[in-house]
Amino acid sequence: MIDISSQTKRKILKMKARVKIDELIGDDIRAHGVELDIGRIIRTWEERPGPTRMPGIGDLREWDHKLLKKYPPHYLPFCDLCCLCTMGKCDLSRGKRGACGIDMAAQQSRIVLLSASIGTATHTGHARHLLEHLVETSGRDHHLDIGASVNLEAPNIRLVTGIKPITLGDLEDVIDYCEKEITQLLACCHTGQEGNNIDFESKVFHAGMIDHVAMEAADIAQISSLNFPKGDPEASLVDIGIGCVNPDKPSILVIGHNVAPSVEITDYMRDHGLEDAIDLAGICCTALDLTRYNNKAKIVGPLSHQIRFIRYGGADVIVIDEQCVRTDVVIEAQKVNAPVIATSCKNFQGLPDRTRDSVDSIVGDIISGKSLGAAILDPVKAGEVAVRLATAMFPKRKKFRAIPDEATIAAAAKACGGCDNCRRVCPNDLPLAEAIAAAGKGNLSLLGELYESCIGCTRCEGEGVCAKGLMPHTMILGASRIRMGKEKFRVRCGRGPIQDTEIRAVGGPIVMGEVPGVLGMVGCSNNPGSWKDVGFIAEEFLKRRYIVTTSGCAAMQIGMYTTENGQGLYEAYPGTFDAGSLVNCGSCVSNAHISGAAIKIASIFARRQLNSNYEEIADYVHNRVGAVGIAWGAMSQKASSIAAGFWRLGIPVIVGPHGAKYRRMLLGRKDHDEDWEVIDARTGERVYAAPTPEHLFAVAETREEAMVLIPKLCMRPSDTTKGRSIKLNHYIDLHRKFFGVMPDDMHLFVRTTADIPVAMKEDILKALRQTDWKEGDGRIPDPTLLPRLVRKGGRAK
Amino acid sequence: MTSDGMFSDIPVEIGVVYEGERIRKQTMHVELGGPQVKEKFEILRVKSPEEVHDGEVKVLGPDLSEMAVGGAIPFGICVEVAGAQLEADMEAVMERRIHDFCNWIEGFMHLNQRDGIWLRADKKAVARGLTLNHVGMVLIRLFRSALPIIDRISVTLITDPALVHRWHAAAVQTYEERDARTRGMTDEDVDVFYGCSLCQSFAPSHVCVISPERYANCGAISWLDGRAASRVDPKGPIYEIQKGECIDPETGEYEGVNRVVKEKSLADISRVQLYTAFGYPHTSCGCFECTTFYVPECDGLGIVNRDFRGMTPTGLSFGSIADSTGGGRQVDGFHGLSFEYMRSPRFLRASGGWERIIWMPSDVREKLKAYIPADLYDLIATEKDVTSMDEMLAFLRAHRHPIIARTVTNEVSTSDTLGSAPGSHRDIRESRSLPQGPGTGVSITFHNIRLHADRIFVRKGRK
Amino acid sequence: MTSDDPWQRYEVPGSTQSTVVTKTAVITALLKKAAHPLIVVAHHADIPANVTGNPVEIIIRIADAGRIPVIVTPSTAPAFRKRGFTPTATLSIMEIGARLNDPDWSIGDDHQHPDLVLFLGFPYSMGWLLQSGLKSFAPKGIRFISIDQRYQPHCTLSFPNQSRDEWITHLNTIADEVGYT
Repeated sequence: MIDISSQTKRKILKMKARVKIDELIGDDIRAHGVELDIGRIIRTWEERPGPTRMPGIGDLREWDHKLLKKYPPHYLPFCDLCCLCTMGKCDLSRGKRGACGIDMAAQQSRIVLLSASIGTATHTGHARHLLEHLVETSGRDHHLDIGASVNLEAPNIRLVTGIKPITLGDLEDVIDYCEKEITQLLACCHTGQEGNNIDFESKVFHAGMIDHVAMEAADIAQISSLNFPKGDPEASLVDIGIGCVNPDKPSILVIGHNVAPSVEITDYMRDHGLEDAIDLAGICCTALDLTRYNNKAKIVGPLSHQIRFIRYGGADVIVIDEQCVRTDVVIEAQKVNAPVIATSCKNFQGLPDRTRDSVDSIVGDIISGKSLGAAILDPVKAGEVAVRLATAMFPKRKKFRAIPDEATIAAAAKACGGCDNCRRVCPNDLPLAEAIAAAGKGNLSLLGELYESCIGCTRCEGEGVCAKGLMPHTMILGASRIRMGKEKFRVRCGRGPIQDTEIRAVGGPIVMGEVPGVLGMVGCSNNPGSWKDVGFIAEEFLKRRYIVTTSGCAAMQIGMYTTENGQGLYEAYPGTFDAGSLVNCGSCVSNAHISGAAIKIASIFARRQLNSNYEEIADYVHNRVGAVGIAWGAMSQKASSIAAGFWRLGIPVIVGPHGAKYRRMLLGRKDHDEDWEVIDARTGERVYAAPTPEHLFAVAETREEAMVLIPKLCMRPSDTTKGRSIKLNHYIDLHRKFFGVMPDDMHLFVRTTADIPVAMKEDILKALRQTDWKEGDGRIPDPTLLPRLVRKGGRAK
Repeated sequence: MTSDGMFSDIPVEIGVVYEGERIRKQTMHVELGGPQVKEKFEILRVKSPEEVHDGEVKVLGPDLSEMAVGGAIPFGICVEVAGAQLEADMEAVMERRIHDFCNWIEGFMHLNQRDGIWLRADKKAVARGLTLNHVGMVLIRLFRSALPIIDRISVTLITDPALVHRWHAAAVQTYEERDARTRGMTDEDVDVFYGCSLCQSFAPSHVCVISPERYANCGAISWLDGRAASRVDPKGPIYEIQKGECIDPETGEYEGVNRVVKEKSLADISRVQLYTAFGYPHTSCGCFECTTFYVPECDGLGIVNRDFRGMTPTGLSFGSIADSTGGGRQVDGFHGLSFEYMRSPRFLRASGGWERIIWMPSDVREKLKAYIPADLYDLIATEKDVTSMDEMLAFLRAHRHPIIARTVTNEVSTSDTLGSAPGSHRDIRESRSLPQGPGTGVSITFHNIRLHADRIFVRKGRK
Repeated sequence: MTSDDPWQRYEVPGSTQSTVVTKTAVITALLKKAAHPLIVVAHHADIPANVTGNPVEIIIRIADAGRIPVIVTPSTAPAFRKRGFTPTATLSIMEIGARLNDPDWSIGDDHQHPDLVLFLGFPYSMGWLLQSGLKSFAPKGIRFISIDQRYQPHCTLSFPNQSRDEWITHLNTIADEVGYT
């Protein structure tokens, strides 16, 4: 027995250990030259670990296969060919196999896996770089503090890795694990590796699960080290929109996802009393995270706003970090004489690495025009350079714009021959030629109307697209100049995690049917139509008292929408995790708090063990927690890995029409009764539990279709009668509102008359009588897909 | 669009989607009741069948379109119902539905209850033809739909100030009579309690037992609510428990309750004593309003509520304590509570009642002032008095809290000596003191440990 | 415009692509020959046309004349009901795809898997992706025909890219021809 003082214990927990015993002589043992080597000491907590601590790529296969049997993949091949190895290209269409033996289903799943792995690697890479920086600035021993009311600080990390992170250093262990898994996942994509589509899909789920772990690590690291709002429902309201950036001041535009350089810019401005002298604005998640640090900073908008703001001339210097940055940013910046500072080695953009050069020489070279910008991998130095450049460039640039005026557009538009080539390269099939023709006749309103539906990709301005050399995207911007200057909204900056007490407080309302569901509105700005559709969807569900959580570009687009009364949604609805509230968790990496909230429910209400116990918790969430994700404008590989993390927890995700390009859906078949049986853990019996939820990944053709799907996908086998009744109420009501009639499948979801919404009872009963609906016995199962969870006395059949 | 069928003759939409609708002053046609009006009320009465003109809506006084825009008028709603299974005791429960149902009408807003009601009708709704007669029709249909145990129903809406005045006085008297009856109701007065398994959708082994003197943990369901709910949906998650033989009146243990709890929790829990925090306490799900926590240093109990943001003197927040409480388990000293239960005379009686309580947040203490024995009120510390255990103990000693005497006579004990049956057998399923803070109680697990030894000598036999 | 290029220039198909069909008689003949035809309509069908009628009205004529079951997507259904026509079923685009891939699935009174499917009204990329999936995963021998305004590359047959007037005229001709039995 060795007695270790608590102080010594704390020291031990921070280091690797090597013990060498030259000679040990005891009563029963004698040893010489004993070496004890411990690679790393991992912190855990008093909860007994479950079966899957730091699971490998095959450890949760059985669970994945259960879900995939219920929701089999439905493929939408993007291309008939596989072009990955030198035996190819291979045509896989119509049942053919490639030279390596792969078939179309496996190939599509392989690409989905590749996409999800890229997404996960990107968040993990982001987390790693951020963590390295924060360890440097705050120290490895920096104590993680994400709010007194957040007892379960890292539900994803605890669930998957069994680690209870206490310091920043503990998160390094978490990221080590993620990196190891990503390596294995990518290896699966190699030729002659995995061959079965369902096994590929299981690995997709694995990538998603790892993604949420990495995102959580990144966000709690920055919340704690940078003192972001800590689960604060009243986090500040900040400005969003192109018009928020003051044209009479020098300005810095930051683009990307890693907030470190933006923090250093802020600190430099604060230290030098320049906070009011320079406007600091951002695009994409860096902007969201920046406002969590500095609520005077402004958000220009989602990633679709990049080129329009650069061409608008609003930025005197552009600082880019990583992810979702336009890869032609340097070219675009040149058009308005704005220098670019790259701050991430993942994204040099061809700029010279000046990390080791003096600030004076970098600034001097750029101001003199010797260089277009610089890569500076030291965030502190990048911060100083950006601020000094902004001040120096402001008088030189005079907010130079690359947007023509109305007269120039009208004159140019006359050349349009109406070939429609611009439309044929537009991802949204926008009627550009029609709008240009109208502009040629002096009517610029049609061009202006395209402003909200244009995703800002500039494919219409590609080489050779227009035989007459017209620039349709630029023309849209020209026709929208005035509105861009007036574009001002408010968004609540990211509050971070959901407090444990908030979850406790909504437990009652959820079972009583007062909260019909939890909606996670996430994703990018690749919308099929106006960005306002995102706010439109959010408002409808806020009115219906759903809890609407959001993050990333979706959170911004919700802010860029106003109600009938001209109020912004963040102003009209509170930020608490509660009925009818709008909860902006923060940036992309804050998505982990949305999945985390679902996981916390299992811990808080059922005291289910979280430690290394993924399968059981996913089974709980899938069968009980009425949550659904909607990524209306999903674009990126990160969006796919985020979605995959929700899938593995059994949480359904809806995407907009462009989401079909992720190549496969996970669709249930409501016409197959046998797919919807769950085990009642009380008895072990298999019981029909209706298609709840019907799909795991579905694309909606229109926003209305998505809005009808949302309440439907919030139904779960464990719903109480009050809960089911309210969910059905919204499903049926929205179906009637948008499609004119009651849905034809409601008989599947009404278990007993007590499930029928009060205000529709007569109508529904009338409709049910026309089907073969029979009232059930009213017994609500304790639902599970896992025979091992059948409780004593019951027996799995 | 809900008005396609059931409400096709109503000029506005009806549905839960309008529940959160707020009508602001600028768009308001008229205010019915509200703070500017002295007399307003709503009441539901259970009558004999012959007294109720089924389906009748009466509007006594001017209708909405006849009222001055922007004004506020005295207002009364009287719903009369009859039905074989209805009892006067259920009136208050059914009456509360008036609030929901009025709010489901598009362009019509309802706040508060009883003689505090505050309604508004929207200009657009009135322009579309909404009348009080329609409101009455909607109430009748929704009451019938929600509560099939209603056989006959009529609604009277009163806007004539003189009539409001007259009916108001009668309504206020009814409220008082009802309250007196409810306040006086004890667990001995009834043969049945109610069980609630609503939370089993999230906490599969938890069952709430609701008696007249013990509200559900969530604070949302009283014995009368339980009675009404079990009648309306007999197959539903709220059901009757025949309380059966009383095993121990002090701790509140009943043979019938044990039987049902055992059945509903699949034998996870076999005994429940309603008025204790130790031994066989009532279990907790996760949505309790408050929880007790055990303080072994003085054998006392603290109470902390969900909205308390600070630290208890033990150094733990509500969240950490609640973690030790929930999940349908019986954990000594960690016990989920509703505010209503703390107003009950049976509040933790077997564990010493208020004499056992040593700490609570100041606003909770204030809120419960009328229910805490006056001589104990100042002896219970709050976050304003103490922030650590040392301060806590000093406070208790300085204020001569009865717990001090208890500690001296009882030494270190977590048991329920106050009032527990002599020699009663305790079989605690799970027992724990406070969760441990950082730096204490480390256990180490080794994975893939590499042990390199050049030589190992093993000698058989001792020495 | 080139008539047999995918309308969206960058939606480059693979090794095989739809045969362009400009003669409506070909489609009519195949429709009449099919034992279990099906029409699938998405929400772009409900666009007011310049010439005669609306594509939805023409589809109703075709369906009535040929007694062909019609599946519509949820957002499309109101346009049909408004015209007094009750679709055989309402399913989302992807649900339709999953069912068409299932050899055991059937619709209509004959309880047989469709052997010919007409598509109309699809948002371009969703149509393209759905049909690409059917090309590789649906049971062999089914004819998939796109009668949308824009050329769709993954079917058996597809209309070429055409003007709206031409398209409506072609649809009307099919309706007329199906009517002459």
